[in-house]
Amino acid sequence: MKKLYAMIAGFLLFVIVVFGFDQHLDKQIMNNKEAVRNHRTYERFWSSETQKLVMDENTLPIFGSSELVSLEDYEENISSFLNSPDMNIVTIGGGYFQSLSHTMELGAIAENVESKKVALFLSPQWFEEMGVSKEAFPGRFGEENLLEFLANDRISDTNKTYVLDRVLTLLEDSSIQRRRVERYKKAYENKISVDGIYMEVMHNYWKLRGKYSVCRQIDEMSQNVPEVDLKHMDFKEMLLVAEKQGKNNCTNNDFGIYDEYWDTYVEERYKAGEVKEKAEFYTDSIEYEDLRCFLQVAKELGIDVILVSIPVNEAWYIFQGMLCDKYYENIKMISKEYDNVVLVDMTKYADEKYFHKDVMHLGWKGWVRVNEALYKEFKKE
Amino acid sequence: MKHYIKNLRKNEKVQIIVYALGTCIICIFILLYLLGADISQAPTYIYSQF
Repeated sequence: MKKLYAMIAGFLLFVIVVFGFDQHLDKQIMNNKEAVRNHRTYERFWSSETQKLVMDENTLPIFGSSELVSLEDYEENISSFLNSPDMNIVTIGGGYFQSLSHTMELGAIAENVESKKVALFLSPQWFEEMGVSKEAFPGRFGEENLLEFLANDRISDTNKTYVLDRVLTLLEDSSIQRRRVERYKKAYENKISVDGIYMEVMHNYWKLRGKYSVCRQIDEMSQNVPEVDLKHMDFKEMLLVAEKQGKNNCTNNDFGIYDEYWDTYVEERYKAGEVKEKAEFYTDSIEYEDLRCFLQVAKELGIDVILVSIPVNEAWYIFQGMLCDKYYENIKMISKEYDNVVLVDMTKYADEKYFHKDVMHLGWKGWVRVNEALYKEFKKE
Repeated sequence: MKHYIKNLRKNEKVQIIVYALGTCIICIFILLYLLGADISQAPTYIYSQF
């Protein structure tokens, strides 16, 4: 009996130690707020607790994919420079992060988005017929986000069930993750159960693990976005700088693609000649449903979405026989279905040289135009 | 409870403290292992960062 009492006391002591450790992690993240916010790794994207700690009333969360990765010195290569006293950003996403992952994260962090605005960068490549692939999704899936999403009372059961079912489908080839999500689903359907306790324990575990993983990276966090004065920024002047940077980087082709990318990925296909038969791409995809789910969840949470429709490098895509006009139209139509959505339509710049840096990712002029539009939309009452 | 603790012999008190600390330390080690372990077990073929 004495041993049992001692073990219970030991466990209580352990709980106190964990609580102290959790507070220590919070403090570490808060003390390095800006560095953490600008640090772009999956560990941070998966940790909704971290996002909550680094956001303030001037933060715009930006959800997107691989275009958000490059954070370069804007004196050399303009990318994101939205860091001024009246606005900063926290980016969420890398390659293969798509609407479904973002829906979970939005549901997880929404209560702490003080500005009540988020931006979602849409890439046409997301809209392949099957949407996000089963091969990529497990490696991008953050369980903390799913559990926080499920715990948010303001999200409807319809959307929670949709997300759970989609996640389970996409985890078909990842049995260990799938088994855990199946238990979360059972717990969601019946909270007072063994699975309910399991979900609660796992929820706290993932929260602690997320913050711990981010804190372990603090020493390597070196990316800094220079502070600028966005209120008085001359964006026309920035466009001229962008044009100059683009010209310097693209010297071996007429498509506005930077030299190294052209040599590695494009030149060979270019030599094969233009594809004469043109066809519309990205017209039917389950990703449209995932996107609708994201927008519905945002509406339920009272969040306004700045939907940024990023075009492909039109000159190259037409050369490849791929047209995207129908896709652009679809996005316009969807944005009109929701009164909490503002569409920032960048498709008119699809053929502008140096808008992209390669065949799909935002480049020098693209970033200037997108940053300007985001700042204006963010500051709009 | 106070009365119970007061009535314990010295070596019994030491034994309880050792057990309590032992339990706490074992729990901490298990937690540290779990925080560092790859329990997500996601397939790694497109797992690399970015």
